[in-house]
Amino acid sequence: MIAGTVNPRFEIIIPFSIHDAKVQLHDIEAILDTGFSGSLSLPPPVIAALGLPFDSVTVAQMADGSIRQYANHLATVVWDGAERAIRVAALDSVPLLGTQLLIDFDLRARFQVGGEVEIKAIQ
Amino acid sequence: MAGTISGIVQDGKVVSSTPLPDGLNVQILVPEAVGEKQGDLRDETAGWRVGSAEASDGVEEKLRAILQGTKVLATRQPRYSMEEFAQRGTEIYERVVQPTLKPEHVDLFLAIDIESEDFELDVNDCKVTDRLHERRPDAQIWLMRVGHPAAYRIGRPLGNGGLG
Repeated sequence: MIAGTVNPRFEIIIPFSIHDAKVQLHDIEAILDTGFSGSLSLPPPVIAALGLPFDSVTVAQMADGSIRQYANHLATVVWDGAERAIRVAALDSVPLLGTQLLIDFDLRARFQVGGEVEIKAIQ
Repeated sequence: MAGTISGIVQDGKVVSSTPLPDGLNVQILVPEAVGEKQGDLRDETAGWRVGSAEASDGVEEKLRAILQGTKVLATRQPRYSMEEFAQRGTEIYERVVQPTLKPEHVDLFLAIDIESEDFELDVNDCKVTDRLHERRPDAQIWLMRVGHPAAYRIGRPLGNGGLG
């Protein structure tokens, strides 16, 4: 189970950890964005500091219909106690957690400031 | 020892991706588009900033810790600008890949090496580029999704990232 929280802006904040290229773990928090179909986005300077290897250049359709190119990087995160290889989108944004990491999980959120959020593997 | 070894420039010094013996004479070949390329990647970072007094959670604090505490060198780097990836990728898609596609390929992720023109299809965005990198370790991959205008969708506005 992953425990998150609802912040004063009514955003769901999920804490987890990510490996850098030397396999050291770093704590990280991301805003859950169910409009993002990828796994995770991080700002390019953070990706550079972690030494996450470049994987590919890809393209996303934004909410206004526009198309935007960006780089995907390789990363391993610890998600629900297990290491998981994901692609991290290099985006100028607060870290976003996308729906790909929610596949086969239940999501429950209490939408009050400080409310509890649970992401739990479907049995 | 002879051959081509890649690397990147960091703090004004060339850092090779493979350890090299002291005293080895090397020649550095600078790809034509290198200035444009790095500018392109830097431009991407320009809109992002850390620092908002209004931040009410630890999201930025965690990022700042990473920025201050770590310096790890990535081994694989892009050799083209975003625009070149898109142009070449789209051109190869239309000329090489599209004629081979079948209706059951719709929705699959498609990874194209814009240098060798090799490609892979898979339902999973990690597996598709992993497999192409296994065959082509140096691949420069353009990732898209068959039958979609883009590989992913992003619902949230970007640029300064809602940090302010």
